[in-house]
Amino acid sequence: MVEDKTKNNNRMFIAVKIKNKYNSLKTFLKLLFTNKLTGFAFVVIAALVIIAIFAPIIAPYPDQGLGKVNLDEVFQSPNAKHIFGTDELGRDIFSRLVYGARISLSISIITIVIALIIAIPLGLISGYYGGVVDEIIMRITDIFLSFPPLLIAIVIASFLGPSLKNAVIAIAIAWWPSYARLIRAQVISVKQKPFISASKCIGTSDFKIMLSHILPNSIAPIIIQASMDMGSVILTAASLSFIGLGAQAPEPEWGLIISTSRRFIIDAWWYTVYPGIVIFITVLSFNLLGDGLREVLDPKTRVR
Amino acid sequence: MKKSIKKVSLILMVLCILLTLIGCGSNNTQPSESNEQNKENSENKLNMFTYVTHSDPMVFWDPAETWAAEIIVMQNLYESLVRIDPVDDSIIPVLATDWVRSEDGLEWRFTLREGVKFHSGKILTPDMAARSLMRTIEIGKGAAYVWDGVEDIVADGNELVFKLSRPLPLLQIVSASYGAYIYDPDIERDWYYEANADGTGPYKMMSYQKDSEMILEKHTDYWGGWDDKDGHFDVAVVKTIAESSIRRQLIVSGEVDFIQQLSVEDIEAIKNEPGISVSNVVSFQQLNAFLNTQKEPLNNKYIRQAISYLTPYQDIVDHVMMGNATQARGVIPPNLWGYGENLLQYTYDLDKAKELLAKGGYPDGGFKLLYTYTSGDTNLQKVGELLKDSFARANIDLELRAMTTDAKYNLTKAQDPNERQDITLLYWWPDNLDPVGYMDSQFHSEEEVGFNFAYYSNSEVDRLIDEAIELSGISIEEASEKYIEAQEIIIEEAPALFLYCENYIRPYRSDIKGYIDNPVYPNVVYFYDVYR
Repeated sequence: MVEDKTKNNNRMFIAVKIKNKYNSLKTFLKLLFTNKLTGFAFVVIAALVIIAIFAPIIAPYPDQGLGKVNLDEVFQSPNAKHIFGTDELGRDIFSRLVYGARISLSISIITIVIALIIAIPLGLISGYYGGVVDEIIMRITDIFLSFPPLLIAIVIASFLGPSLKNAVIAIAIAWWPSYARLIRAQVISVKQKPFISASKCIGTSDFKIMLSHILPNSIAPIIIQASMDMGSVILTAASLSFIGLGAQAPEPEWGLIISTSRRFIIDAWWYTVYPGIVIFITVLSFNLLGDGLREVLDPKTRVR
Repeated sequence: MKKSIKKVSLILMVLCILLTLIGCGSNNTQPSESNEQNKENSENKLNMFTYVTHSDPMVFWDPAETWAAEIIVMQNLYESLVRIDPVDDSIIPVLATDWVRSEDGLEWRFTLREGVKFHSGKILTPDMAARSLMRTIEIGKGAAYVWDGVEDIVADGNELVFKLSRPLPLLQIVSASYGAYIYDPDIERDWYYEANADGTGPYKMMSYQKDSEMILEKHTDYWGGWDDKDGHFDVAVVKTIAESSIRRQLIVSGEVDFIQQLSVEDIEAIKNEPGISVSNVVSFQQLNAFLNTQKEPLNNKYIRQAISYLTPYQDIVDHVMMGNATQARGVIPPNLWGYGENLLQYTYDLDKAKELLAKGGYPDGGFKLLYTYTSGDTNLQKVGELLKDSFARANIDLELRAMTTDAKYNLTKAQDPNERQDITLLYWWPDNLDPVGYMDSQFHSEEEVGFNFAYYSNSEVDRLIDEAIELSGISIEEASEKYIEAQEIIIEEAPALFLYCENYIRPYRSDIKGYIDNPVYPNVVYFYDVYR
C-alpha cells in the first residue's frame, strides 16, 4: 500500500515535469521571438542548419561545390545559371557556399564541444575545491588568456601543420580557458547556496553534488557564451584558412574562398563579396542569438 | 568649495602637461615631415623612376653572397665583367673591354676598363677586381658554385688572368646573374649588412627602409657618363607593396613606372588601359612537379608515366598562365642550349593513363597522393586543383597542402622517404646561361637532398650529365647532345611532370623608353638604360 502510493506520487511528479518542460519550451520560443532580432537570428541559423544538412539537394552543382573544375565557365558574373557567379576555375560560388556551411557549422560545434569538454571538469573542480587546485588551474588559464586566442590558434595550427582537423584542435585549445573561468565563477556562487550545504549534510558525494546540483545550476551563462562564441569560432576558423593554416584548397571553406578570391576583387567582385556577406550574416546571427538567449535565460535583463 | 578648486587645478595641471607633450611632439615631427615632402617634391623635379616589387628585395647585402631577390638592386649598384644578351646571343662588355681565350682553353685574359670609380670615389684596379672575385670564391656562398673549375684569378698589368683546371665556358660564368660582381674586396662583410653598398654601377644607395622603399641616386662619376643621357633618371626608387590589387591600381593611375610581379589575370585586365605597356618575353623559368621516386606508388615507373598522361598540360597553360607560357619539353627550356626540340612531350590521355596504371598494378587507381606547395602561391594552388580534378578521373585522390617555404623544404628533406611528400613543385631559372643547373641540381643523384626533389638516381643519367659538364668548356654542341641524351632517359622514366616554361610579363608605363627585359637577369630593370 505504501509502496503503491510512492509509485503514484512518482508518476504524478513525472507528469508534472513533462508538462513543465513542454510549457517552458513554449515560453522559451515565445520569449525568443518577442525580440524580433533574436527571432531573425534564430530563423537564419535554423536555415543554415537545414542548408548544411541538405547541401547536396540545395546546391545546384554539388560536384563543383566539392571542388570539381568547370573550365568552360570561368569568372561568370552572377546570372540565372549561377546566381552568385563562378570562380577562377568555373565553379558555382553558390554551391560552394552551401557546402561551406557544412564545414563552418561543424567546425564551430566541434570546437566548442571540445572546449567545453576540457573546460567544464576543470572549472567545476577549480570552483568547488578551491585552494591549491584552483590556483594551479586558474594560473594556467591566465597564461592562455594573456594571448589573443587567434594568436594561440595560429601558433598551434602552424605547429601541428595546416589542415581543417588541426585548425579545430588549435581553436579549441585557445578557447577553453575562458569557459573554465566562467564555470568556476558560477560554481563558487552556487556552492554557497543552502541546498548544496543540505546535500553535503545528507552525505551526497562531491562528485554527485558537482554533477547533478552545481552543474545544472551554473550552465546557463555557458550556453549563452557558447552560442555567442559560435560566430567568433567561425570567424577564427575563416581567419586561419585565410592565412593558409586551416582548410586546404579546394575545400569550400568560407575563409579560404575569400583568401583565394582576394586577388580577383577588382575584376570579379562577386567572388569576394558573397562569401563575405555569408560570413557576416552568420556571425551576426550567432551574436544576436546569444544576446537573445541571455534575455530568455536571465530574467533580470528581460525587456518587457 | 575647496574640493572643486582642487579638481580644477588638477585638470589644469593635466592640460599643461598634455600641451607640453604635444608641443614637444610637434617640434620633433613637423620639420621632418615637411622635409620629406620637400624631398618628394624635389624628387619629382629630379625625374624619378619607380620600381614596385611585392616583398622587400634585400636578403643578402654582401655582393659575394647575393643569390636572391636583391638582384633587382644589385645589378644597378654593382657590375660584372660582361653581360650576356640571350636574344641576339651577344656579349655586352661592362667592366671588361676585351677578352682572349688561350689555345688549350685553360687561361682567359680580360682587359679591364680604365677610369672606373666606385661610389666611394676609389679607383678600380685590376688587383681589386681579382681579389674581389677570389673573395667570392673563397666565401663560397650563394651562387659561388658557378666558379667551379676556376683555379686562380690574378692581375697582370691591366688584365685579369683566369687560370682554369679544365676548359670552361667562362663568358657565361663571368656574366652570371649572381656571384660575378666586381666590388671593393677590402670592405668587411658587416659593413654591407648595415645597409651599405659600394659598387661601380650607375646608381648608388641613398636610403633604405625595410619593407617600404629603397632610394638609389645616380653615381655622377659613372664610367659610362651622363652627358648624352637626357631624360634619364636622377633617382630610382624601389618600393615594396605586398597587396597585388594596390600595385595594379598604382600602375594604372600612373603613380609608379614598373611592376615586377602582377598576376596574369590582372595583366590581362589592364593591358589595354591607356598609358600601359606590357613586356612579354620567353624566359628560362620552368615549373616542374617532382614525383617522389622513393615512395609507393610513385616508385613505380608505370605509375609515374600514368600520372604524366593524367596531367592536363594545356588547361594549366591556359588557365594558370592564361596562355603566357608553353608546355615544357623535357628539363631544359627553349632558347637555352641543350634544349631538345624532338624530345617527347606527354599529353593528357586518360586511356593511356589507365592502361599504364593497370600495368603498374593499380588498375582502379585507389591511392592517395600528397601535393605540397608554397602557401600564398595561387598559381601553384590552381595547378594543384587542376591536377586533383584530373587525377580524380582515374580514381586517384590528391591532397593539397599549402605550407610555408621552410616547412615545405623540411618535408622534402625528411629522414624517411616515406614521410616526404609525393609531389612538390619547383621553379627553376639559371644563375648563368648554362643548362647545368637544370640537369645537375634537379636530376643528378645526390648524397644529401638539395633540389633533386624526385630523389631520382640513375647512374647512366649521372654519367651523361658529368660528361656534358666536362664538354661544355670545349664544345657546346657535343655537351648539348649529352644533355639531350640524358633528357631522353629522364622523360622516359618520368621522375617529374614538366609543366610549363613561362613568359615574363611585366607592365610598365608607356612613356618609359629603353626597357628591355633580359631573362638572364630576372626582374632587373637597368635604371641606366631607361628614360622618359
